[in-house]
Amino acid sequence: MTPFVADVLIPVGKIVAVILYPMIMVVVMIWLERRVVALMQGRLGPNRVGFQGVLQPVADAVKLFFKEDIMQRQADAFLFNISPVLVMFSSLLAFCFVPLGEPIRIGTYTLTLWIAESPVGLLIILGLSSISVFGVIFGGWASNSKYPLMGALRSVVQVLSYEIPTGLTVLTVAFVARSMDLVEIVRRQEASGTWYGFLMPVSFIVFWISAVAETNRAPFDLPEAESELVAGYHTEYSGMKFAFFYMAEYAHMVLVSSLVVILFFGGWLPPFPSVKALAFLHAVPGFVWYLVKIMFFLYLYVWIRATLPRYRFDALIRLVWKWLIPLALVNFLVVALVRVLR
Amino acid sequence: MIPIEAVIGFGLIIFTIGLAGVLVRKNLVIMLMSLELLLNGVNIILAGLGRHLNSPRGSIFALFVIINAVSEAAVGFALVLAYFRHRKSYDTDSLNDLKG
Amino acid sequence: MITLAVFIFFAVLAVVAALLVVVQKNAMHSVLYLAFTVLATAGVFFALQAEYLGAIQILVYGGGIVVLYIFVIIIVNLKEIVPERRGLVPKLFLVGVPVLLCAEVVTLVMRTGFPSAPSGPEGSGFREMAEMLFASYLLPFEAASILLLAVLIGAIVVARRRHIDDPD
Repeated sequence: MTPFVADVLIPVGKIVAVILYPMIMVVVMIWLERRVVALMQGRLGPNRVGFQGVLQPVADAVKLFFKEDIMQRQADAFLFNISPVLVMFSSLLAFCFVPLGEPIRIGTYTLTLWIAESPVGLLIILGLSSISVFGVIFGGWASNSKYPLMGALRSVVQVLSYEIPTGLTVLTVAFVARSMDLVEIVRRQEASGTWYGFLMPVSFIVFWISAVAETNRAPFDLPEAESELVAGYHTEYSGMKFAFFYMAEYAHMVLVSSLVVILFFGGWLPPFPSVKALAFLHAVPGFVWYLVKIMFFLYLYVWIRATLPRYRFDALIRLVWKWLIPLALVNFLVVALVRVLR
Repeated sequence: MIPIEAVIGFGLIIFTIGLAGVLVRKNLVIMLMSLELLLNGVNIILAGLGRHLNSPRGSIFALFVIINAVSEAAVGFALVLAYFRHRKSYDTDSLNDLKG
Repeated sequence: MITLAVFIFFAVLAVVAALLVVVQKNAMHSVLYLAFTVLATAGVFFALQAEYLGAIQILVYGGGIVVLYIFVIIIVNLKEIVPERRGLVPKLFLVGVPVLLCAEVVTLVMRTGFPSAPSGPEGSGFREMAEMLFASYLLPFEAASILLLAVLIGAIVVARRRHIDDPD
């Protein structure tokens, strides 16, 4: 294997795969959300295009592609055009550090199922997902209009506030696993036998709530709620730019689900490793387990959206500052105490 | 490998751009942004030296510089907000009296 | 070799973005280019294998300071563009002095070589940094946390709106 293939071709192939993987999940999510939410609300949802409406995302993409691209005259052209790019960029970049499974051995070459592994991978992913506020706020500002600006400001305040419990709960996982390397965290879960979601349920619940709030999803989707702010920060966008915002939100959801799965639910590990009778589960490759778990959390996202009513914005902020952050802090203290006393 | 002179030169260039920005611009907010460029240039030199001398002290020093940059940005903006409420303008040329 | 290419790519990006920060008339555009500078600098840190520093740069500088700038510009509604009334000669002078300073330091660095890396026991990795941070540099670390607390309280006090029944 020449250095050219190993150093250039394979990383480029991985980058293409890493861009395709969230996009494919986005396509699945578009259909999943509309169909499942509809069925849960007692109506049918898209069921005409293809079997059970599976081709609906294709129809959506074609429609959005051909829509007219409108921009107001008083909007800031440069920022208006660059905001969808920024949002997409931040959603996709973090996937470089997300591991998908154990390295595969092909002949003499070991193919690692990640683009980059870093001893601070967890911190990098947190940082990259906090860059998503740039696209939101530039989009809101550049639209030069009331509702987008208010929606953007609310969204940014929400994301920034909910980053704190995210960081604190992730800290407990890094503390127990003694590493911020995502691959190492999964391997520690394998070695210790218990997934961290069952070892530290409070961390998982706080992280899940914060993650739902960070992706601006129901019940925390006031910044883009239709009955409140028209459509929030992407009101003035139409056509492919709106599609970018839409896809970037789903890609962010996939990223957060991946993070939950890796940190709290064993990543690519099969469940019940100590039960001998279920040893056949190990025959299924890790990547498949990973996908199954991610699909479960994406379904959970959709389920929560269909079920819970929307939080009012000040109630949302009160929730994080008065309840989640103290809870996350106390949780971290308890975890640290238990660890030290062990 | 990356030559240490290249890293120091690059850090110096960013430092120079930041310094020129602070001196030339009159808009208070853009002056503060150029100040962040100064600090970024210094961080680059520190990180480069940390790697060159094979020591973690470069990163530690740069970490403290970042913490100070955050503190200074926060307090700076509090002052800018308070001043703007008082004066309704951010031209630094009119920022020339201590009264009020 | 690839590390060098990555470093040069991010370095050029950072320099171009930094130039654009300083030159723009519109403050919001300046902030956008500042965000690009911060991200490019983080890329440079990754190329220099200071990964923790790169992560902190993205998280704190990018996700914190730049957002703070954006909020301030929105809150004070910086749409009016302050006219830059300086003449050409003062501008040349003000730009020339930093450039002269830079050229001076660069010449110094080029002339006196740099001491090569002592292959000591300290690695520049994350683990060694953490050990040193909590052992030798514990006092500055705790002082930094007190600084951040003071800044938090101070910024809120300075920037709040005055009510009629305030004590001062």
